[in-house]
Amino acid sequence: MNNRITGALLLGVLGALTLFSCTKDITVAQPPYTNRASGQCFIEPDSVPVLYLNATVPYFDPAVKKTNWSYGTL
Amino acid sequence: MKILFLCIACLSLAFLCAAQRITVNGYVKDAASKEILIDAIVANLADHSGTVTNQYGYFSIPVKTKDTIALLFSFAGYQSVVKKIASKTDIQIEVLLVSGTALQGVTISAARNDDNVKKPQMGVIDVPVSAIRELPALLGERDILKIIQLLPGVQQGAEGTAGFYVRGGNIDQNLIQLDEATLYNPNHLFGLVSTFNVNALNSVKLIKGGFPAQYGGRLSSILAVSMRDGSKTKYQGEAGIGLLAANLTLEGPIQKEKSSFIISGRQSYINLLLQPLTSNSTSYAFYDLNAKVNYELGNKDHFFLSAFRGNDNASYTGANSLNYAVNFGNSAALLRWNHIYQNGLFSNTSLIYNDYHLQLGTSQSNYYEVLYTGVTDVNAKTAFTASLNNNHTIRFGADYVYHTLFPGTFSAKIPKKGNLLNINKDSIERRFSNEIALYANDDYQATDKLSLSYGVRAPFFAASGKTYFFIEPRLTLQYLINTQTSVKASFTQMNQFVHLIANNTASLPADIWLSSNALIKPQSSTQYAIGLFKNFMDNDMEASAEVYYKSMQNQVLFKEGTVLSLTTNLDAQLTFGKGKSYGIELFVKKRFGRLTGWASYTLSRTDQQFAELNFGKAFPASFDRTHNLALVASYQLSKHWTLSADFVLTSGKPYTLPAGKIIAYDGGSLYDGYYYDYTNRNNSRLAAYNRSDISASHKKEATLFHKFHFTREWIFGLYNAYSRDNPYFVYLTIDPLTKQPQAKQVSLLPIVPAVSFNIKF
Repeated sequence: MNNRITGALLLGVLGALTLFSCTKDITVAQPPYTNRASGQCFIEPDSVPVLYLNATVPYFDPAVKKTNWSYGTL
Repeated sequence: MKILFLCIACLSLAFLCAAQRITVNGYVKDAASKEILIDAIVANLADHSGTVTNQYGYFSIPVKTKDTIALLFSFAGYQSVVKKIASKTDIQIEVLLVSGTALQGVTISAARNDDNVKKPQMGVIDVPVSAIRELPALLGERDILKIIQLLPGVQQGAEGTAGFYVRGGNIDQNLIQLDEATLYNPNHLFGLVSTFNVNALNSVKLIKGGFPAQYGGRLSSILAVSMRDGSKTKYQGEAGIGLLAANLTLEGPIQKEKSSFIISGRQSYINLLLQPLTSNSTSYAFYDLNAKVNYELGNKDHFFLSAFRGNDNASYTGANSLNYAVNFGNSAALLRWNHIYQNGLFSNTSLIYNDYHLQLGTSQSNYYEVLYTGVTDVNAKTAFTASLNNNHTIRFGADYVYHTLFPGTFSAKIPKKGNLLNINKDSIERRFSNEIALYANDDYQATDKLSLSYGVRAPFFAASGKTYFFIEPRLTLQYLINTQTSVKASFTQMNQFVHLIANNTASLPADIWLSSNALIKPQSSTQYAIGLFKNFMDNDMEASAEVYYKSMQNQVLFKEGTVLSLTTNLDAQLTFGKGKSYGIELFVKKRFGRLTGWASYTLSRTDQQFAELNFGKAFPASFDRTHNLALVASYQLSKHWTLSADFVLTSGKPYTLPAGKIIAYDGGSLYDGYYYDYTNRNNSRLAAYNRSDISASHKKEATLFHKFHFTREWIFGLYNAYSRDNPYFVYLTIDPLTKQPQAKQVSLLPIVPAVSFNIKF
């Protein structure tokens, strides 16, 4: 089943959504979470492999910024 | 096997106990239309023993031989009748009860059914069709499945839809039958309206636990819906028009008091509403048709031929000539024969064909793709009921089903016309299987206070060279504390051989049915329940508290990350696990008088555990709701006006929320620049759901041209009367200004007014 079929499946619901639905911002409680170590490694031909080490943060944590990243080369 | 032999031995003993008695049997019918009355009370005034008519209106009561026997016949809303019978041999009678509406100025004082206390049955709820007619309905379409959702232990599916979950069982664990024919998808309009046309219905019964042995094939519930036979005395009809559809029902005698017919149809005209809003880009139409004829050959044979067809057809044309089309529906045909043998032995033999199909198509320019999935069953069964003496009612029979399943087939052909390809079903993949079950069950009144229903069902299933055979013991005990109070306990084992593999998007009809094979083992369940049942105010009010525990094995879901478009072997994408559900159900119902209705509350928990999902840890099922409260009331304000209302409050639906995140350094723009860390499946819940619906109906008799007498009825209703924004789903996004995660809740149905008009002539 590809995306088109999925689209056909959702035809009725989307139609109803178009006619009746409303969307609003809500506040969702953050699930319990403990930060975990994260590693992202990029290996490309003719490039120096790069490993980025960091720690995950809770999903709704606003503190995460790119500048917090630490990285190094192998 | 020991259990089987034990049950057969007990049943044989019961046969031997029948002596020095005669059997009075026959049918109880409405005097005006000769329509059968289901669950009418038959009481022997000599010893206060009794029975009720079965789903075919038939009763059989053994009585001691004496000069004159006095039997009381009673049914809610009808005048009771005492029949005096003088016979030394078995005798068959036909009892006609006069409806209260036909007795102007007469107060009906009928004996009231107290089966809920005195019968060894648990988890059985009869929903009067008259109650369904009075309660609020979404868009004015009266719907039995919406009423079923308001019962204890039953959980509604998505907002506004007719899907339901019973005691922690998935939606496919409900066996839904119309006149004994299985309907695999009893929905119109993607579930907003069910296929059941209330005008054609006689009775609705939900069984959710303590299953007698005659029921099997599903783990969680049996919803048995029966059609009316049609008046045998006069021609009459009903017609109605609402916001979505119009309906017409005609019935009458073919040969007076011998045979009759009923035909009832419903056709939507949603297109008229859609066209101004969608500029002809969207069309939707549905219809359903019920037809039935019956013929009484003498007083011992009764033949029925009935048919049903319901279908939905939708299409949508988007930008760049991209077309979608959907067609789905059910068909069923049934030939049934009731026969009364000597000693009141009653048989029901049926030959049934039913078919469900779903076609989805998309096309653009020269590209075309279609999915076809469906089920076709040929079913033959015979069932016998014998009342041996006042203490034993024996049921035994056999049930055979030949399943043909079309799990899902894609085609790239281009249709010659229209948006949807006509598929030759012989050319696509099919899976065949045979399901046979033998059963025997005895309702045994052991003492004045203790009665039990015990039996065994033995299903056998064969498909693709693999066979399965099970013994399913069934037991329900009932102990009468006093005439108004009893405690009951039940133990049930069930097996299921066809499975709905749920699509994880929504309860849409694209869900695919698969039968068991070497890889897909049958689902099985063991259920224990205990309950206290009490009636008040001369059986006007009934109350119950039931506690249940159900364990389920071989539950089926798709593996994590399954993309069906990339799948050529569905079986390889399945994962198997177990589930358990437990809870307490409280129920209070007021059955008679100007104010009727009920309150139900369920406190429950349903967990599932799969080795390949959620790191092997248990997680709440997507249909788990901790609290489920429903209040339903109908009040007859005056001779013409009836007001009704309901209120629903449930815990929110579980869903999976990412718990952590990490910025993606490269290539993460697809996910707003983040990778997400999911720790637990269904780790969060939508906000609690609550809604109230109200309606008012005005009914009045009228005459046209001084000759044409009819009853007209206006119904005004409000769905979601205080227009609460109930959550349909939640999605996550990144706020473009603050760059912070934001949850957004989508609500589907605000306040929806409805008006409909019906006439009965």
